[in-house]
Amino acid sequence: MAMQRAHVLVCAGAGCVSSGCKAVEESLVQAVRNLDLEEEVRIVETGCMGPCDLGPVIVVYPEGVFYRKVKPEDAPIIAEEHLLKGRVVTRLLYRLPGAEEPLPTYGDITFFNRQTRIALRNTGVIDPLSIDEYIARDGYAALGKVLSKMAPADVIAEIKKSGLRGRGGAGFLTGLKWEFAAEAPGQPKYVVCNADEGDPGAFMDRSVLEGDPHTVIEGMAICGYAIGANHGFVYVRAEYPLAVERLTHALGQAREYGLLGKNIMGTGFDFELEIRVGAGAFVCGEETALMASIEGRRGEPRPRPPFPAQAGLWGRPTNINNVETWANIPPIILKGGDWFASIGTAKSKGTKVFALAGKIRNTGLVEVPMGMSLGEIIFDLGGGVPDGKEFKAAQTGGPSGGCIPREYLNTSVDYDTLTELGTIMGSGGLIVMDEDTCMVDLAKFFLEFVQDESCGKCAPCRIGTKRMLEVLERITRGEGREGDVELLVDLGEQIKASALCGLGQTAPNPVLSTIRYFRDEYDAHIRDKKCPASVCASLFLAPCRNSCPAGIDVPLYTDLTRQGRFAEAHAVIRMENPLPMVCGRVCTHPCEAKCRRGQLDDPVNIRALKRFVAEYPVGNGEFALPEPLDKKEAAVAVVGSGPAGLTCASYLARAGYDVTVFEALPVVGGMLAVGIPEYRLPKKTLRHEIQSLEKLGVTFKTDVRVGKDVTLEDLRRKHDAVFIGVGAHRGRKLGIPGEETDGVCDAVTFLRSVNLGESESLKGRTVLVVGGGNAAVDAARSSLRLGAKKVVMLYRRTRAEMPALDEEIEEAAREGIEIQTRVAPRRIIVRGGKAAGLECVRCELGEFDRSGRRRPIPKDGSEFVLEADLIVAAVGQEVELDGLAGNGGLPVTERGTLSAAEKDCSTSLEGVFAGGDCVTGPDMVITAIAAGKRAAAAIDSYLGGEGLLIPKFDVARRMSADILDQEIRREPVPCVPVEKRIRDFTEVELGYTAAMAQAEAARCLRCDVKD
Amino acid sequence: MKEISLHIMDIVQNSVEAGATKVSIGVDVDSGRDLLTITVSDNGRGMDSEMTRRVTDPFVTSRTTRRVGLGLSLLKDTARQTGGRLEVLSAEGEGTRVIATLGLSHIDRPPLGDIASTLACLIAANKSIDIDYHHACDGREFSVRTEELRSRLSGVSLADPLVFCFVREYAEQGISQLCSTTPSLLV
Amino acid sequence: MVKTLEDLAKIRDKTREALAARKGDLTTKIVVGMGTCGIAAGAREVMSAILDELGKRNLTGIAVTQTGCVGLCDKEPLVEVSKPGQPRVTYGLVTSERARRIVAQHVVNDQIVGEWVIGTQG
Repeated sequence: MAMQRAHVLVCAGAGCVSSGCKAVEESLVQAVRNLDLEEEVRIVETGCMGPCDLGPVIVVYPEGVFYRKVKPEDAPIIAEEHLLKGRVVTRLLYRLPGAEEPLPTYGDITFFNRQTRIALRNTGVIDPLSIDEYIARDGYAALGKVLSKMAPADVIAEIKKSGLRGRGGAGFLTGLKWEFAAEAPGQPKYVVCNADEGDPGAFMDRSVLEGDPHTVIEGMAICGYAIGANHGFVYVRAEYPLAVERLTHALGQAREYGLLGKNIMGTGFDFELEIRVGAGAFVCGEETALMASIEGRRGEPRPRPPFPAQAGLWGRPTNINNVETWANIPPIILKGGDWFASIGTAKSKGTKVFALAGKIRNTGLVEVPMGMSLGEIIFDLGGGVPDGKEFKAAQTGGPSGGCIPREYLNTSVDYDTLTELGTIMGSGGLIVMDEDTCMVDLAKFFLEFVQDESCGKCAPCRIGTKRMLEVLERITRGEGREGDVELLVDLGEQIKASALCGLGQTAPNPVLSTIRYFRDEYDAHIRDKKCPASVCASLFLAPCRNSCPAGIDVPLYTDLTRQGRFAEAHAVIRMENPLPMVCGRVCTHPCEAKCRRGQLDDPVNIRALKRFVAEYPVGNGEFALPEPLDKKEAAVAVVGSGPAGLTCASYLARAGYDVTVFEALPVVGGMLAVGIPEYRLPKKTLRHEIQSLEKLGVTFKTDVRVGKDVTLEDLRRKHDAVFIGVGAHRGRKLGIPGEETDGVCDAVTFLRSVNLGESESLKGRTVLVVGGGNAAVDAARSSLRLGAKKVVMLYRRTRAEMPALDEEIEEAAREGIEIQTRVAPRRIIVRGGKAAGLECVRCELGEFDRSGRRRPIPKDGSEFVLEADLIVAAVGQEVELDGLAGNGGLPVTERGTLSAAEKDCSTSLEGVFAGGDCVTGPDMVITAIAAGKRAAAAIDSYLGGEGLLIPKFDVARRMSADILDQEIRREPVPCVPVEKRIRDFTEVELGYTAAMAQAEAARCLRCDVKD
Repeated sequence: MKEISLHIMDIVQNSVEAGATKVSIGVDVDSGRDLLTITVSDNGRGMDSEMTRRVTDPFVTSRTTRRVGLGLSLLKDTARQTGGRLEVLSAEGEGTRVIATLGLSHIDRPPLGDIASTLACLIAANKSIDIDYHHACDGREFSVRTEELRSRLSGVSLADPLVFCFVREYAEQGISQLCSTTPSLLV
Repeated sequence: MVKTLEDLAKIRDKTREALAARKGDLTTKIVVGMGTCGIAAGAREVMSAILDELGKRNLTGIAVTQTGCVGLCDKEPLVEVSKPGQPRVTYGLVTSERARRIVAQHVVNDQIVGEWVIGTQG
């Protein structure tokens, strides 16, 4: 046999075939021939290697270099550079997202090196069309051992010892099943392989059949010997033509080599296998329906007992196992049941193949030991959720399973732990979902599938699932009724208890599971007619508007902007947002995260458009503000002049009420004035916005602290209603020794002093900012502008997990601020009564916490000191409740915030309403504005009005221009160059010109136009 | 090898092992056709056609102590990397000729290197073999022939260190003058 | 210094003289490994350095020859020095500087340079 110095493995699993691996291979073969390397280089087609999303993939041995997304035109380059000259083609190597350094070899990549491949031991390594390669890797050695050295009872004992449980989903002990069949009277007996694999998103079995067909043949032959069967069937679904082809080829080869058929290996044992192809019915994955199908009857399940082991095909004892189960048999025989039992958990032995699909970076197949944590599978092997989205839940077991939310990422995956969580292991499909998945829609999807596939034999499944689906359809259409959820639960439980087969018995699982963990989404759909994930199209106009807490009609004003009708666009915004100039600069734009344009190129820059439209009146003829309605008698007190208070005041004033705003600080604006720095939101701009309110007749009283200078009781006596929007203005402490020292302060205090012009120069100083949110970035960038010569931000998790806006973090880095991650503060270094530095410790990321993020664990012994003159703690904010809460005041939640109803901001005190950060804890400006609106409506209602402060109007939604569907990146917003801007607090963003705004608005896909 | 002259040194060892008494080394630079041709011919015992065909396989060697012979396969690789090729012509009892053609301006062509030292070492170590070195550069030529050296030395061994130093400097100078108009070709 | 074939004649004359002065026996042998592995590791430079050093010191009567690969490829360049009446010493990982020192110390002064020795015989 000729030795060839290089083996190039080309993955020819179905995924890579679809991605065009054949063309790549042909090109490679041709290139090798052109370079006269045919005798030195061997090109082998293997089965699926696993990372299907990266296909076509190639591995070059002996180095093990892994190339991904290879195109036919890359092949000649690989041949010349790598195969001839030994130079790796770095362009085609795998990199972690955002990383520069590639991971060149198979063994470097976590996706591969954390796997334990037993069932997939040959898949992706051998040529599935070569029986010799299978034999070279100990193929058929197990069969040989069994036939020559073991008695049937010994074989069964070994399988029992291994603890192997059926991999098809039910998890029944395989050894025990074989024993039942072996002991059952009757001849002939049969062995069956269930290769129907109907779960959407599952392709483990397919890969084994396409990549290593002989392992199934060998496993089944071993079973035949053990139970006394001489004939077997492999039932493959029709949708797997490649698997059928490769299996057929393998059967032919096995027969040729005398490893199948009469007198195998001369031992007198006969075993023959035939293939039966399915016809597209999911229910035929159920064993009794499958057997019916083999017998030529309609695929319908029947009651059990009798189980197939007693009476299966044609009434004879039959052992049915899943493809993955069969693939585990030869290694167990060769290495022993004890070896297999040493892997996995106490009750779930061995490994499991998972098919990772959905919102996950590394789509494909992985085989891991039972007991690995869900988080490790999803984040380490799977690469986590792409595009910066947040993980929401993982679905296991397909239509028969349930979902597992964030809180359970530490769960070690095995049959029993999953059952406890309300799902099942199933065949191994693992679908990952992110914030853009609607769980109600998901449940509906699975139920639709089940309804389609229900055989109809039993009433609970046939009729019950239909009724459940009808309820779900109503809910997603916006016609949900109170009591629907209870109805679904009731129905679901009854169907589970009474359906004939596994299909029906597990059909309600997705619904019950999503109700268990995501009840709030169901409630939102039913009570508020809202789909928070922006999926159920009947419930919202456009995802951007749907995700805006204030419900601003984004597509409408975007289109008006595109057309140049700026005054009208302005009016549209002003209806729902009295502070558009502010939001146009500082909003954290949840709308952009949902913008569908983002799937094409970049989301529309909604925030910049809003800013342009909001500013347009300045210098272009001020637009008339809506006239206030007739004056009303009632007077309302607003406590706190932050966005919540200002909004509430604005709408109430417009409605004609007499509004007085009480502000404790000497300036008006709350966090807008004393939190957000000048270079992001100039005081001049804020002044302009507040002037509009003054024009509406709102009275501002500054330097009045409610709870000290005047009590809540006083206000309640003098006003007909009170709104409290005091925000969260107390910075949280670090909780480390030495933080009371001079030179250490919290971000709120620091920013307030900067914004009030009371801070001193930081020229030549070193500043450390602890934290990763927007307040931390604000403090850091402000320090720089105060002259600090070095500013360092310290965050205890990774950069990707920093809560601050990405663009803020990027600007901070661009301005020269150093960002150190996975660092936690330990104690303040004090010298001469002042802070001189911070002792820090490096952190490792440990288990997942309830929020789905990895907990930072300080690594003792990795302490280091950073010298500093000023240390700013930006680790959160709390509400200052003195004088407002307790003692007959407002009730407080356990988080330390005021307790108020979300829907209408009402509190337990009559006529007192509260909203914004003081109720929710620190949140976005736009959320506070939305709360202010709701409170204003509620106050109007309380005071006898209609509670309708914003007139509803109908607008015909039509396309005004063609959609621009070619790739056009976002119009960049002009900014002051870095060297100039950091010298002082001039505003960094210069904003769009009219032409830019119109160009950017033209990118909108008009999701609001439905026809 | 980092230099082509080291390949030459390596290939000439084969001729020595084959019992050659006469070895011809040719270096031909043809900038018109963008080719660099290296030729090593000897009158050693030669190889049969089967051996000739297989000889560039690294696992084929006439050595009995080991089963690896890298010289020719490395030269073949170098030639191919520059878009060229290696030809081995031989017959039993008739000697062997190795011709390597390389792309002169190809970015992957190693420099010719210190051919003068190579030549000097070869001559010093194999004083009883006739070595002819012929270097041509677009029509201009330079050669060193041990026959001629011996005649001038009348009796002094070619292995003498002073002879070594002479040959080295003489060759270096002669070759650099050859390619002085186009110095890059020397490299 | 320009070299011509005439200079050769001068060397001839000079050496002959030195030879004549000695009842000479060329029995000190220096063998440099010159297999592919040796060449790749830098044996040519080692050999050049040895010959150059011998020339500088005007040492005659020393045979410097080459041999093929002896199998210790990762210790190349190898240099074996055998002086009459002394054990045969093999040095490994020789560089051109080390080669010069070996000539100075071992060949001239009979002092084996222990730190680079990988084997002796006899």
